[in-house]
Amino acid sequence: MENVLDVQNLSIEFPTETGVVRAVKNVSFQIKKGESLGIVGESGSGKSTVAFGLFNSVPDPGRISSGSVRFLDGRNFLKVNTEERRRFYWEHISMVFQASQNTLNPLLRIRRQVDDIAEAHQFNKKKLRQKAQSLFEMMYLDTDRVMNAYPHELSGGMKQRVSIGLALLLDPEIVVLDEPTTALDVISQGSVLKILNGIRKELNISLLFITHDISVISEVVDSVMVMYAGQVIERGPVNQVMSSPTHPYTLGLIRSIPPLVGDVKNTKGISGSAVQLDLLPKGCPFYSRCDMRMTKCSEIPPPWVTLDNNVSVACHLAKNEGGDKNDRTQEHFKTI
Amino acid sequence: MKWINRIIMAILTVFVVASLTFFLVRLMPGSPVQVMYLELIQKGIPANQAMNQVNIILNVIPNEPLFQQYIHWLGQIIHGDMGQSIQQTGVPVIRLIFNALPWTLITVAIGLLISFFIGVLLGVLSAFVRERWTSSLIDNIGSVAHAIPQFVTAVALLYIFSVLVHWFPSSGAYSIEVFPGFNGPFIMSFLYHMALPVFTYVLTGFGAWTLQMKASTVSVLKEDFMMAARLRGLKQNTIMGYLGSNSILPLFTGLMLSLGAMFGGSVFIEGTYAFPGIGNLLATAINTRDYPVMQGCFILTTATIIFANLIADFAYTKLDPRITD
Repeated sequence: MENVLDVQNLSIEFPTETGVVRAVKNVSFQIKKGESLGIVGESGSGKSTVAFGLFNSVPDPGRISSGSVRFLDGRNFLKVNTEERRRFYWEHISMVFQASQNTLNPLLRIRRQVDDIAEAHQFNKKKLRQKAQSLFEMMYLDTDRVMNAYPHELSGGMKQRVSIGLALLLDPEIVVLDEPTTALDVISQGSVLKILNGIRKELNISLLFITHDISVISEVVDSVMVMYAGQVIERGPVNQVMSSPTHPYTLGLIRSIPPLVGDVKNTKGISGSAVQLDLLPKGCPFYSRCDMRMTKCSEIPPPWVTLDNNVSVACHLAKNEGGDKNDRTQEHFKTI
Repeated sequence: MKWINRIIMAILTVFVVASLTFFLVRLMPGSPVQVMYLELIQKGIPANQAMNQVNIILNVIPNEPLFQQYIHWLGQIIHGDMGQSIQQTGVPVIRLIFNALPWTLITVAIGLLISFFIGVLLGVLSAFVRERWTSSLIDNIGSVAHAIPQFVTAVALLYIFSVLVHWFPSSGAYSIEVFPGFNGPFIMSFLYHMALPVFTYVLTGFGAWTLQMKASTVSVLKEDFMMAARLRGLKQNTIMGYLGSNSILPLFTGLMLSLGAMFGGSVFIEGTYAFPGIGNLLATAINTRDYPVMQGCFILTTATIIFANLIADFAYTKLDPRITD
């Protein structure tokens, strides 16, 4: 199947007073039609920056220093001029933002904001309103009320669903969801995830799901990519990564999920805090916090290793100790 | 219903303020009787004859208790009568105010609108180029213009444009050669005379708008819905519309209050340019302790500010959907 999105060696840097910080380093990934990919990592790992990189719209003063982003049409999107870029947005790639509650203009009714999208992309306003209504209906919203409401008249969960509806309005090939459920309570989280899963299957849309909560995405994505300090450290099919994580960081992330029932004493956080991006060691970025570090880890960058189960990982341990760690996770899951 | 209550409250507020000013102006040292009495004494008229003459000229009851004066005033004001000027004996206060009001209204309105327009433009510009030297230049010009008092700016402009280069007249609202009315020469002369006062209003006014507009625009630019609007591929002018409507909204109350305050004019600016507006009328009334005129001016300014506030509150509910009445 053809790739809807092909990102090669994307690097994004932020100039600061103390020097240039590379927030995203050589990130490459592909998404096929209808496939959905999750990007997981803690705060500051560069997940959202990757998302804005796809739009070639990194917040100031950041800049994309290298790499290419190609959608279905095969052009490098980073080289496309502003007007073409504007037309490309939302028709081919759309986004559900981290704080979706605040992404609607507070002074305009929802229908006006739908009209604005129609006008910008030269769609028939009436048809697009009908489309929006059917999308809102899919998301169990009272369509007439929502269309005539101002954003402040809707609840957080409703606004979130409105944002998702708006993201699907122009039938994009790919939707980026940046922490779409983080600001919601557990019940709304559940319903939003269910809606997303349904829509994905029904409309055959590719999703790029960005989250810090690895437990959230396992049921929504096909494959997962774990980021640490701006680099991808592990990627593979989601069930493989979840059941037998190879990288110590991924293992730590999974172990930090509190169990649904029983004691939380088996839940373990990752020691230390996220590294400062300008103080990275020469070798593995996770070196300072890793329980299983070896001397060579601080000096030699770990090579990419592809394992039998289609998981690729950047860790010196990957070849020889993979099986051992596997057992440890199994133990953890038993306790959950 | 709620608005009817608000209007009644506003009228009551005006009444209370008017009553307070009634007593306050009479607490000032000196009185119109004293002013005139001393004048007559200086002309060599004997003391008790002078007192009689003052009472006849001013048509007041000598040494009437303050409270009775107040009751008397209440009776007048309920009939909409603001009394008569003491110094320009017999001329109704209303007429003095209506003679002065048009000059003030036109100059202040023009000055206010120009300074609001310039301020908003500069504020948006400064917000867009923030963190560059142009932005801090605009901000500093705004702060300085706002910080220099009106009478300093007025005197400086008067000195430069009227004394040094003789570009503009130094006083009055129109030339004595034209006949007031709706005719070309008069309007041209009026525009020519009001140039300096308007310029002073603009110079002292735009700074505050600039700073407010910049702060407001910067915070709206950081809003998530602006980023969202861009990534939705909305047209540039739609996005600018989002930015403009959201960032100008907080300035609206300020503008309405300034529009209310414009009925008072500026004592300093009108005084400096000898401009026959409300500010000048008030200043003269204070100097000669002309109580009815002072009170008339105070009631006018209080009422307009309170009602401008009321209108601003009402208009807000129409402009911002988040605010309901």
